[in-house]
Amino acid sequence: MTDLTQFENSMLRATRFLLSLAIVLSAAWAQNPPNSIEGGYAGRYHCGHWTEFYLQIKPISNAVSIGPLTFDQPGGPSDGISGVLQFYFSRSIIKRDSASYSVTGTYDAKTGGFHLEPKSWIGPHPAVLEMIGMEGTRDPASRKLMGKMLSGKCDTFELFPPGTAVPPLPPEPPQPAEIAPNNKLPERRLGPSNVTNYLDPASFSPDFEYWVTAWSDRPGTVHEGEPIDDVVEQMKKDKFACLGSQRVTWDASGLKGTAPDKVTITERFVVECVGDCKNVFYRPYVGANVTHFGLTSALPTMQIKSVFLGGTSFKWNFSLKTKTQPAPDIYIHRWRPLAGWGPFDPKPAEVARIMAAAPPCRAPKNSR
Amino acid sequence: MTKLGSFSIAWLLSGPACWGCNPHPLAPSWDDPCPTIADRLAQAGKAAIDFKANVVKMNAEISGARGRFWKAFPNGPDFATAEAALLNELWQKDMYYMMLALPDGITGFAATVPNQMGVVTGDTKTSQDLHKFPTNLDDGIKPYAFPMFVQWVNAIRRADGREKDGMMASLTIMATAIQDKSNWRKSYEDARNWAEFLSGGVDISRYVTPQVYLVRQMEADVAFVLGRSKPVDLPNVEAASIELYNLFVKAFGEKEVLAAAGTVLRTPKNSVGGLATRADVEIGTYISKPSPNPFLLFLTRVTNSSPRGYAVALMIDQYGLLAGKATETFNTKEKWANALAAYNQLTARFGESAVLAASAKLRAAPKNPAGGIIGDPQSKPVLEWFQAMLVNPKTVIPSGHLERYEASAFDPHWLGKILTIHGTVSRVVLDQKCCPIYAQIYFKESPDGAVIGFSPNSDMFIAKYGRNFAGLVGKPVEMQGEIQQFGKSKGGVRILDLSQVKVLGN
Repeated sequence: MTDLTQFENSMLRATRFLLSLAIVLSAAWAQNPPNSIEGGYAGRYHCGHWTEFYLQIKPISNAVSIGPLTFDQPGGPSDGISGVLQFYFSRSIIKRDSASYSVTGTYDAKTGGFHLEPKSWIGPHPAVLEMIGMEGTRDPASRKLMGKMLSGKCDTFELFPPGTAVPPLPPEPPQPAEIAPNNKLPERRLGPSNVTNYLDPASFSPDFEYWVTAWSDRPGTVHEGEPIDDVVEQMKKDKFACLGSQRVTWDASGLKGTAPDKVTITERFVVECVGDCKNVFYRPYVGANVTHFGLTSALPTMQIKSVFLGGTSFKWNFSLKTKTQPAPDIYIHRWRPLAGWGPFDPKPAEVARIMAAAPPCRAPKNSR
Repeated sequence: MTKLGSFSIAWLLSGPACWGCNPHPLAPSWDDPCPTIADRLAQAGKAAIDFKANVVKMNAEISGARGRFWKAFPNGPDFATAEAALLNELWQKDMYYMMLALPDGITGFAATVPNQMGVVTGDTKTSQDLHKFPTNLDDGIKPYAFPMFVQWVNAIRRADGREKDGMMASLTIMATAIQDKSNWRKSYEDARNWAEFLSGGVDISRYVTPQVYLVRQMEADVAFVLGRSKPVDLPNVEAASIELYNLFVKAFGEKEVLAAAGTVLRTPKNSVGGLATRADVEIGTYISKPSPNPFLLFLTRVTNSSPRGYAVALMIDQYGLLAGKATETFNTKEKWANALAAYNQLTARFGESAVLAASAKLRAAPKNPAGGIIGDPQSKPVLEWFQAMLVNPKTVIPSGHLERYEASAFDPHWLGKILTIHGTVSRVVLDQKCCPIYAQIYFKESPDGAVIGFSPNSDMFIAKYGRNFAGLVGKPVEMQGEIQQFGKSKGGVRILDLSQVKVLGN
């Protein structure tokens, strides 16, 4: 079993555990009439790929609330139902997230048929996602809900009632080895790794391959911007400020490139390549402690900690396996931390000023 | 006034820094030999003694200024000067505690430095004392104002970019605190001054009106509620407290509010302004243990002063009363405004007379500690009865009167009913098995144990009546509760709260 499937399995197990917990709790709370559809259901729908989701349904009541009191209205309960649909999606090979929207519709307790239309998003969500309605029936024996998602891109869904385990999906086909995470390569690991010894010239280790995390994506992975946007956002969240960028210059052969750089104490370096960036290799020639963030960062990112007081200058080496026309445009963005100095940490206003005055740490637009 | 700077010098002396000395006594050098551990301990000890001497001096100065102020209070010829002198001393005291709290927070290491030094001088007695916020100067920040002090410290540290305790503040933070003009500071200083006034030992009812008393008393809690969202600056707390007061007038009536506030004002207080004798708390559905909090006494009085007041109190957000959020709810204007709006909705729907009639009956009904009506076999919450009475005004609520029987006269009809059983306790036996460890209370009148009292909360019996239950054994008692068959008994009174047990003749 590859590291990827182990990782994914653990993520799925965790998700299933949470869903099961929600179902068990719902089961404990809900004591509904036999034909009631009310409750929490866990399952999946298929829109090109399987998506796990959770649906909480409750009947629309005619009752009116005044403060802590609830009074029944004449007319009795309607056949209206409402609910919340929460589904899970991947933001990257290592990051899962969820989004929710409300639904409303009808349920016929005699036939078991129900129809739910999407209403509105609950909380933040990526703009590329769309709300999808659903239509199906409730099986009174198993209390399972089955039917179709109301979108041309989708077909079936199945939902399991509280107290029922969700059967596992058939295993997904493994990713091709050339794009799958690879524990032997620091730049394609699922976590950060200390590469100080790896970079020692005496270790004769190969250069890192330029690898964008999105190249290892599974189908259905959602991105809200370019990889560099994700990196910049993450750096700012981690309270890092951009110090500047170095551009790689290529030699006459067009196969080898270099860029000078410097590290003062502990800084982060992000490699951004524009153009044909496959088969690009890189290596910092630096006598320092180096951590490679692997696939945890959207673009190749390294944290370099100088072992010399006052910092050290060093060089980035780049190489191409095959010459391309034009050569890729590569930038190395340098970020410095704004926290971790104790009493010398800048105040929020100073942090905001530094951030506002900092260079963009992105390849120029005309380069894209 | 003793200079605060002398404390900083003391700390520097006690610090571990040592540069430019020779740490190797057997390798001769031009540098002086570094101090030994014994030298360092002696230095620290001297610093601690100096530190204590400075604190003693400051304590004497604060005490002197306070004495002078109260001597001149309220209109002596020296009053204005004495007041200015006391305020200056209190400011120095605030800055002393600020100096301890700002570097790495209220729970940070720097705050415990006086306690660490107290180990040397013998003032810190236990390891628990070591980690508490210090109180060595003027017995610490007064309890009433301490939450506001914490909020002020945290606000200054947040503005410095330090969100959590333990993060070292910037070197200029003390200067920021001294120059701070925020409402965080104003709110703390108002609370400090009010606490100072309350602890002055004068009869405060002679110097403030019920209205002023109530508004001032509410300020600290209102500030605490307003500060929950950690705004950059606090809204004007005094204005917010007056708004809450005006809402109370609107909801309960001015006469009722002033009467309740006046009662609380005249109730004897302890040295920090709390009630000298804890008072029962019953605010709508909220019933809690007797409390020394004057504001809770005010709410108890005002919400029970009329059927309308009781109905408004019943309408307050019930979730807001759960999990220790009651104080927050009772000090939030929006919660009371919503309760009043709900009351108005009820009167529009059912008519004011029906609402007031239902409320009046419920208000008069005796309640059990769980908030239900005594004697209700279904143990329905008061709100459920309120709703039932509004929908059907003919609904009859339990009378609150319990039938009383002797422990000697068991009747199977007792089972399932809530009754009062009278008898003399002969012994109390604790279960040998865990858990829970039941306490079984036997009556002299029922020697075979046919009628007993039993409780899963034996700890509360031990706490109140002693480990050998000397406070209970041999005493005539009345026990109220549901009668259930328990163990070998034919009928046992189920006791969940000590209020169900009344020792007679006490």
